[in-house]
Amino acid sequence: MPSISRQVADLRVAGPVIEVLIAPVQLRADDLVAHPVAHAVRVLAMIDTGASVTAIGASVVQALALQGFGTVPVTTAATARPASMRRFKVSVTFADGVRVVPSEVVEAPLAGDQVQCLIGRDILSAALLLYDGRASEFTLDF
Amino acid sequence: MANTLRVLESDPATVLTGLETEMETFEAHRAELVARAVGKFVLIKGDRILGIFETQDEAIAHGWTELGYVPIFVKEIAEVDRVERL
Repeated sequence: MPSISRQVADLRVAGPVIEVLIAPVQLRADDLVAHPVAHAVRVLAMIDTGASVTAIGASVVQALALQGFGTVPVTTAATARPASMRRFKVSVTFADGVRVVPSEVVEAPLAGDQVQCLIGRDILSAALLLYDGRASEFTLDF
Repeated sequence: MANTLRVLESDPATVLTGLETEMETFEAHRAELVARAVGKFVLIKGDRILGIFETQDEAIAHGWTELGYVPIFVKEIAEVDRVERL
């Protein structure tokens, strides 16, 4: 079982962050196989157990020229009513080559230029997450 | 490493998705779609329903094969949409 561990200088402030590679995925009717496109972007992602879905920022959508396949209503802590957010098919590759293909993500208006991906419970449903605040480290087992 | 905590820049309910026509088309046909194909997936482009499929991947693949890699609208046919949370 692939395991990814990170020790963070101040886990409480920085949060459980990790670099991931995000690449477009296209589906074709001839064989219904996902085809990851060659180019990818490396972004900082935060593991977010409060998110039911994985989200990416607009800069990732633009960098990869992603084309959406629909919308989904999403609520946030800051909004009372659901907003329609675009959905995309991408592959998410963690360190050590752990890859989730294809993964459905939503485009969220993430502020700032550091964290451009939130790893939600959809991806975490296939993982064991250990958050050790006392040791300032976290581990993901897939 | 300094990180910026995530916050929403504005009320996302006002964000345009570019798929407003497709969303309106779906809502206009939701009742009839539910009556005949609940649980399946509809593919819409503009104001045209292009097909109903057993799986989401089949609908997406059909859309991108027929139309190229362009924005499409695929949605599970249900009376009430599942709401996600960020």
